[in-house]
Amino acid sequence: MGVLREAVSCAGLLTFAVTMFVVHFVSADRAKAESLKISLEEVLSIGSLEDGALFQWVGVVSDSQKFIYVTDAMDYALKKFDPEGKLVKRAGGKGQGPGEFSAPRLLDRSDMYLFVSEQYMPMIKVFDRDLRHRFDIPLRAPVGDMKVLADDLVAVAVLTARRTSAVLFCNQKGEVVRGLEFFGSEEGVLMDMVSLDLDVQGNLYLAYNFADRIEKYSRSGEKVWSRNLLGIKKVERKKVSSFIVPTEIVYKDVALDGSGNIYVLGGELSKERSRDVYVLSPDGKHLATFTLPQASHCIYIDAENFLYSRANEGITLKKYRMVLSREK
Amino acid sequence: MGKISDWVIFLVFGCLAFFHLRGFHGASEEIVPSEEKACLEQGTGSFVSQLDLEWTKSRQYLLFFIDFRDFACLNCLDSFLNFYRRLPPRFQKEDAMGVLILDPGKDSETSVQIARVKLRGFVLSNHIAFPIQVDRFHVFREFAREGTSVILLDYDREIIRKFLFPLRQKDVDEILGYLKIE
Repeated sequence: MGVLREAVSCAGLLTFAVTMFVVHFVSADRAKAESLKISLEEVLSIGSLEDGALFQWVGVVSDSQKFIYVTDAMDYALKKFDPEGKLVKRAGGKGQGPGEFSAPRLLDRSDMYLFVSEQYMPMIKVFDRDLRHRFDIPLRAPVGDMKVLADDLVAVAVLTARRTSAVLFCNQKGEVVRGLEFFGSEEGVLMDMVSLDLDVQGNLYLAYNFADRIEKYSRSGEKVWSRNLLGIKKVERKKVSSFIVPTEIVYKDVALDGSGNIYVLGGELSKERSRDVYVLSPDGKHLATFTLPQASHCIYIDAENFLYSRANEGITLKKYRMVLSREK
Repeated sequence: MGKISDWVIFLVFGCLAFFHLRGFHGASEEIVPSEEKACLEQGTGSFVSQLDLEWTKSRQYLLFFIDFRDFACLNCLDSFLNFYRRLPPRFQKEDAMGVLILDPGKDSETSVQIARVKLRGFVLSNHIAFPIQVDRFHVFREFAREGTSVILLDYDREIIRKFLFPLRQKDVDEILGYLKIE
């Protein structure tokens, strides 16, 4: 009887294990069956190999009237295009004077202003919608990434040699209203470089440029979650002067859509270099991966969920409609 | 490999000689005839010495090899631009030329067109006056192995020197010294 009971018990356990195994794969299959698929439909292309409208665009932002603003590093300029992609105004030029640029880079906007960062200068240049230079925001250090929150408030990830880095929330005078520290380890130079975005609740999303790490922080500064998508332990580094610096970019940019989903552009370690875009839900779940037609240095998603990225090595700006579907 | 290097050097000198002679003949076509006429009319015979002077003036030449990869990092070309600004007008315009060296894998027509557009933007926004040509057949690829560089040719002193960008102050002083300025 004892042996029989044991056999029955073993059979029960085996049945349970098999059932769990089947349930696991069926549910996985269902999840797979319902996985999100994102495809892109081109709706606008600005700058071609013939027209010389753009030479090397870097930053892009659009406004509620569908005008598109672009920084062109090679032309030392800020450019405004109408909704059809026609160049309507250009400002800037090379120089150190008001409204001139040495290396215009990031671009974002508030209701009234356009904010342009300079690559190696601790400042943000501010223009109105007609591209008239209005004022500069002095900062403590050059800008790594930025997100404009209001006419008088910009979140800035500054480039510093400190081991603990922070996103600083600055007013028009460059005064730090508050800060959020996000990094405390001692991994080395440039390892705290991030791309950032914020949602409407004030949650902060960071994609580390030289580490396989994507993080969400609450408005109060608590880490909500941290994800690595590529399974990369450490990036390669080399010695430059007296510093040891990383050589491969893991994540290039992060942007949010209107639903709060997080889009992260992979860098040189992605399967499709600088083309793979990973989509995460606000709670950090990996929803989908899609691939841009051409390599890009950044992605931007406007208020209507159109995605903008680079083509022709910066000569062309593409605007895409994102088509979401459930893949079977 | 040695033979290829020889051929590349041969081509460089061939091109330089071509541009040098073309520049000289260009001057003789546009300027000299009227001066020659004047000299002959005056019977001074000073035309020959003027020609010699022109020849001496253009016996130094700068040849820039610009690495296309530096266009992706504009500050990488700051040293080149700063150096360019310090050159006297004749080395900003006539007695210099540039070659844009493309990436090894960039052979397609689109890649060449992209390079041309970027070069146009670079030249226009920085007011570069000497001609820069895209090396679409990769004749000078070997010269960009170490990045953007400038080669100084001084025929009178039989000096050929290569300097890599970013230039050190010592390099700038040395080149400007060879060019007998500053």
